[in-house]
Formats: sequence, structure tokens, C-alpha cells
Amino acid sequence: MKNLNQDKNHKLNSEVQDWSSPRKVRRVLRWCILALAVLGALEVGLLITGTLHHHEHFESIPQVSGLDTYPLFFAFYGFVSFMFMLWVARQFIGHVLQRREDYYLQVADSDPSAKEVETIQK
Amino acid sequence: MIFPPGWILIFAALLLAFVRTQGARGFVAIFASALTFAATLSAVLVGVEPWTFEFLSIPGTTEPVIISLLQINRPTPAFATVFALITLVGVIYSLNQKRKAELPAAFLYAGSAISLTFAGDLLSFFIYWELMAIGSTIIVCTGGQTGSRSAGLRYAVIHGVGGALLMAGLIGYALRQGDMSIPFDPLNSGLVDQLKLLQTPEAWLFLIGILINAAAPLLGSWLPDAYPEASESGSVFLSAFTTKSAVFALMMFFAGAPILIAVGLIMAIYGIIYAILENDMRRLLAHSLINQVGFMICAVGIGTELSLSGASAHAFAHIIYKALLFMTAGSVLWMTGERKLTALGGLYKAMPVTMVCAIIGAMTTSALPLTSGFTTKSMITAAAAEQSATSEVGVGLFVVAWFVLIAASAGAFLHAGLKYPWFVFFHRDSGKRPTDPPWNMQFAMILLAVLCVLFGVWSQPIHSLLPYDPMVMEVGHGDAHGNAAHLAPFHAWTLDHVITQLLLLVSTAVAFFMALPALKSALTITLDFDWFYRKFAVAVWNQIFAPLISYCLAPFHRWILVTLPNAASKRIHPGAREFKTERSVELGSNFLDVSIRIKRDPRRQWVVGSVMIVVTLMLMAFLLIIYSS
Repeated sequence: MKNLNQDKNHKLNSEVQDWSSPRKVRRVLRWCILALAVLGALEVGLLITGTLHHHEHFESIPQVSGLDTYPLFFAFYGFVSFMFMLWVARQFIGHVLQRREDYYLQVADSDPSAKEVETIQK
Repeated sequence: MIFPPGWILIFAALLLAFVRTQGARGFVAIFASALTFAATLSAVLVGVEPWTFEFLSIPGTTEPVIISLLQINRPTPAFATVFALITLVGVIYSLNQKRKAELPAAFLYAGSAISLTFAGDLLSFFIYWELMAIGSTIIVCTGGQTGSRSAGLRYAVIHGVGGALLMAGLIGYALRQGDMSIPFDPLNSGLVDQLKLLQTPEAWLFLIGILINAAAPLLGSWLPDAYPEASESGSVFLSAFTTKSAVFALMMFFAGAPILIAVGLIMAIYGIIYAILENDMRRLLAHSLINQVGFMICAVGIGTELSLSGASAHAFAHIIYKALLFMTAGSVLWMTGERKLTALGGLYKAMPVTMVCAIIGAMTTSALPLTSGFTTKSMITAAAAEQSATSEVGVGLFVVAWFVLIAASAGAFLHAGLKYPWFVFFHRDSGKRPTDPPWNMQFAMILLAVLCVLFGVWSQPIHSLLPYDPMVMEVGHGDAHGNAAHLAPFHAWTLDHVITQLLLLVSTAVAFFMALPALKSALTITLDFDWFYRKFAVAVWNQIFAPLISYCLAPFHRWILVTLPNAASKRIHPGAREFKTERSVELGSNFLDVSIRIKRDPRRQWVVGSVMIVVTLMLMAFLLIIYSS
């Protein structure tokens, strides 16, 4: 292992940018929205001109027939899926199942035999 | 080829165990893995002469067991080739690794995995399966991380149980059918027809035994527990073989079992949810691995030519890009000593090669067009859609499968495509200024990154290895009205597919950056099923069973701990020293404490003992089931 030093005079210090600042994140977000808009416009344009034909996956199933052929369906579905999974992870699973990272080690502290094992391992 | 190519690696493992100098070890390792790759390619492209012989006989019959060690099964070309390829690249990556036990163990593991794909009978299949478990356990145990040893022991316990279940199922099947052969084509296999209906106890035992290795939910917490505890190179080998061998096994024994669709979909979502909450970069990748294996298992459950080819193709691509991602994570760990996302960030200038390779691996996971993941994953979603159109039964399941798989594609982009590279290489500046890793690690990463893109734009090499040719694909099973399955070629590269996939990914990226504050990691872990055996079972044992057993045995305690051993030792050696009574009585407050006297590591004693108890109970249960049915 090497180069762990956090050298104050390292030549990269002036070059490395902090991408966590809200301003930077907003800038990246704007680029993503622009890309989405361009792709959406391209899809609609190609559909109108007849260059693009969405393959209908569920023709024979009335409940979902044609759903996947709507313009921007995949953009909408991706966005909603993401938000739903994030909500489930953060609001449900996270609240119930997240613990401090030393959760399993706490048992070891209270167990004298575990300390013995740790000593042997070292 | 006159023997399974994987044997070269197994013999090399024996040789490597005695080679001391690092240079000689590297030479032997590269030579053996390159030879294995060449032999595997030759076997799958040129073909092999089957190698069979008779061995004992199944109880109750006079028929001998036919052992078939060299059979090209339908999925063998794809799996064996990529196993051999990743072993070679993994060896290059691990040339700096100083742990002497890891490389021999990796060779045993890889050699068994390759040989398993050539197995034509259940007995040799099982032996290779167990050899893999031994090799992988050693890799985890020798990982050199803080929790490697204990994670390795838990891994061994889980896989011991899985192996016992698999063996019970295997014996049950052999006794019932009087046959141990594995037909080479899963879609025309009496074995699959018997097992996929899940109407017998042995079919369930068989399935659960394999699903444990596939890391299916409730049985799969061993994977994010063990893989991150391996060394930088160890996790590369681990990511390739165990779960994919399980996919191979499911394909050979349970192709078309509807339960696998549900299992696969749950895995695909479960992996995402846990990856969102994860703070350890290698655990994040381990959850991502579960997510991707979910796609494959779902495809096996769909059970058509297109879906089985999709599962094989995706396994091929997945092994490459997941190994690449684990290599990049290993490089970051190697150079910085950090694996937590909260301690990383801003490495994009310091480790540019690693960063580019990580982004390519991440984009391939996300199935971005021009990467191999795009062509392989779309075969699976297309198979789900096709089945919903042609199948008379379970149409709703296939529709749900399609929608969930599309959502899971977006989720894969979220955690592996965006979260991993963003928090490791960008985000805030952690102040760490490492360099890219040594040349061999960079070379291995670049090689895999090139393959990710190459197989994305030129998928012919993968297609030529698939179980069924995707250009002449039989779609559907046929239906109740007598409509036969029809032939239709599969094309991933359509304008429709490219645009819809890009829309899906870019909208996910928008959502990612909008929700970035909610995605920040914290110093936490997320409890999984392993809580039951790491906390709950231990507490129940310590608080209920141990005191109860001690109480019941108290009258016999002195007799068991003192009188009996002394009598035995005196009989063997009349002059032997007696056990110290005071010590025994002192320890005798709990009869389990006797382990302290035997060995100074009570936890290890407990783990080995518990494995034996579990395995014994399993075998007893199996005998009961067999004799009662």
C-alpha cells in the first residue's frame, strides 16, 4: 500500500475538483436533463416521421396492451422505478434494518471468548 | 481433449502449493491458466470424445453408475470458456499477491468450476461442486481483511449445509430413478422434466442446495458477507464462479421451473435495494452481483431457447464486467487501503486508468448500448415478452417479469452505473492521492474493459458459444391450441431498442442527481438473513439451549468430565496423569466450556461442532423422508 499521504503540496491538489458541491451537481443535472430532452425529442420526431416503430410486447394482453409504445414511456418508467426503489430502500428497509457498522462487533465486545479469538487471529 | 480442461488447473494447484518463489509461482500460474484457456477453447470448438466409465452401482439395482467426465452440455461452451478466460486474466491481476494459499485455492476453485460444466453425471457434478466450496472457502479465509477468518467460517457452514442438501437430493433422485446421468440438452431432458415440477422431496432439496450457491434471498446473505472479506484478487475469482456455476446447474436441472422466475425477480430487486443502502464499495458490488444473477435465474425459469441463451450470454458478459468492477474496487483498496464510500472520493485525477475501467464496467452493468450488457440483457427481457405472447399459462407472470426486469435495469444503472463510480472517483475530494495500481493490474483491467466494449459491438463470438443459435431461435413452447413454437431470429441492435434503452438510462441519471442527497452513504450496515445465525441463533443458544442442556446434564457432569476421561486414560496408559478435578469442576458450570480445555478457541470449536450437528440432522431428516415415502 502506498501513496496514502494526504500531501498538502501534491501537484494534483489544484486540479482535483470537488464534485459534491450543489453548484457542480446542478450543472451535471442540467446536462442530464438536456440529454433526456434531446432523446425524447428524437423519439417523438422519429415516431411522427414514421422512421421509428415501437415493437409492442403485449399485443394480446388488453390490460397492458400498447403501454410500452407510448412516447417517453421508458423515460417515465425509469424515473418512477428509481424513485420507488429509493423510497423503499430509505424509508422502509433503511429504517427497519440499518444499524451502526459495528453492530456485529458489539457482540464480540461483550463476549470474552471473542476477544480471545481476535487475539489469536492477530 | 482426453480429460476435462479444468484438471490442468487442479494439478497446477497442487504444484503451486509447493512453489515458494513469487516469480516461479507467477510463471506456473500464467502457463497453467493459458494452457487451460487454450484447452477449453479447443474442447468447445473442436469437440471432445466422451470419457465414461462404470463405478459401483446404485443401491437396490444391479445397474452400475456411469461416470461421464467429459460431456459438452448445451451451456458448457459459454460457461467453460468464460471461466477459463477469467482465470487467466485473474492470474495476471493477482501477480503481486503475496498470500501463498490464495492462488492454489483459486486454481482448485476455477478448475473445479470448469470441470463441472463438462460433467455428464450427478456424482462427478457433486464432487466438483464440493471442491469449489473448499477452494472458495480458503480464498475467503486467507483474505487478510479484519473479518476474513470469521466470514470464511460462516461461508463454510452455509456451503456445508448447501452441499449436504444437494447430496441428499442427488441420492434421493438416484434411488428413485436408478439413473445418475445428466442429459446434455436441458430442453430435452428427462432429468429436468422430473425435477422442475418440484413434486418430490429430493427435487426441493436439490433446488435449495443450488439456490444457496446462487445467493437467492433468505439463503444468499453469505455473498455480501464473504466476498468483500477476500483479498483484492480473491474477490475477482469469487465473483466469477460460485453463483454462475449455480446458474449453470439450474439450467441443467430446472430449466423452465416457474418458481425460478419469481426467485430471479426478487433477487433483481433485492440486490438494488441493499446496494442503495450500502457504504462498503465491495459489498455494493456484491449486492449488484445478486441483482444481475437474478436476471439469469429469471431467464432460466422462463425456460425457452431464447431465455436460456440469454442467461448464458448474460452470464458470459456478467463474469467479465463484474470481474472488471471488482478489479477496479480491488485497485482502489490496494492503493488507498479504504473500502468505505464515506472515506473515498475525488480519485478521478489520481487513478485515471482505474476510473475509466470502472466507468466502462459500470456502463456494461447498466446495459448501455455499445457494451456487451446491452445485447445480453435484452435477450432476457425479450424472452419474457415473447413468452407472454405465446404462452397459454402464466401470462401474467411473464408480463410482471418484463416490467420488473426493466425496472431492475434502471436500478442496476443507479447503484453500479452511477453510485459506485460517483462516490469512489468523483463526489467530494477525500484528499487521497494514490496512483494507478501496478502494470499487471492495469493490464488485466484494460483487457476486460476492451472485451466489454468489443462484445458489445461484435457479439458474434458470444453468440457462437450459446446453447441455441439466437439467429435461428425457437420462440415459445407452443400453446394449447396446437400452435407450435415458431422460429424467429433475435436482434438487439434495433433503433427502437437503442432509443428506449437510452431513455431509460438517462431518466435514471436525472433521478440520481436529483436525489443525490438521499443517496449519500453513512457508517451503517444493513441487516440481512445472516442476522438469524450471527445474532438470533447465538442468543437463543446461549440463553435457552445451553443452560437447559447444562441443567439436564448436571447430574452426569462430573462423571462425563472427570470420571470417564480418567478411567479411559488409565486404561490406555496406566501411569497417565489425572485430569485436575478442581479445573474440571470449575469449568463444569457449563458443560459446553469443556471445549476451552480441549482447544483455546471456543468459537472455532463451536462452529465446527455446529456444522457437524447441522449436517447430521440434515442426513437424518433425509433418511426419514426417504423411508417414509
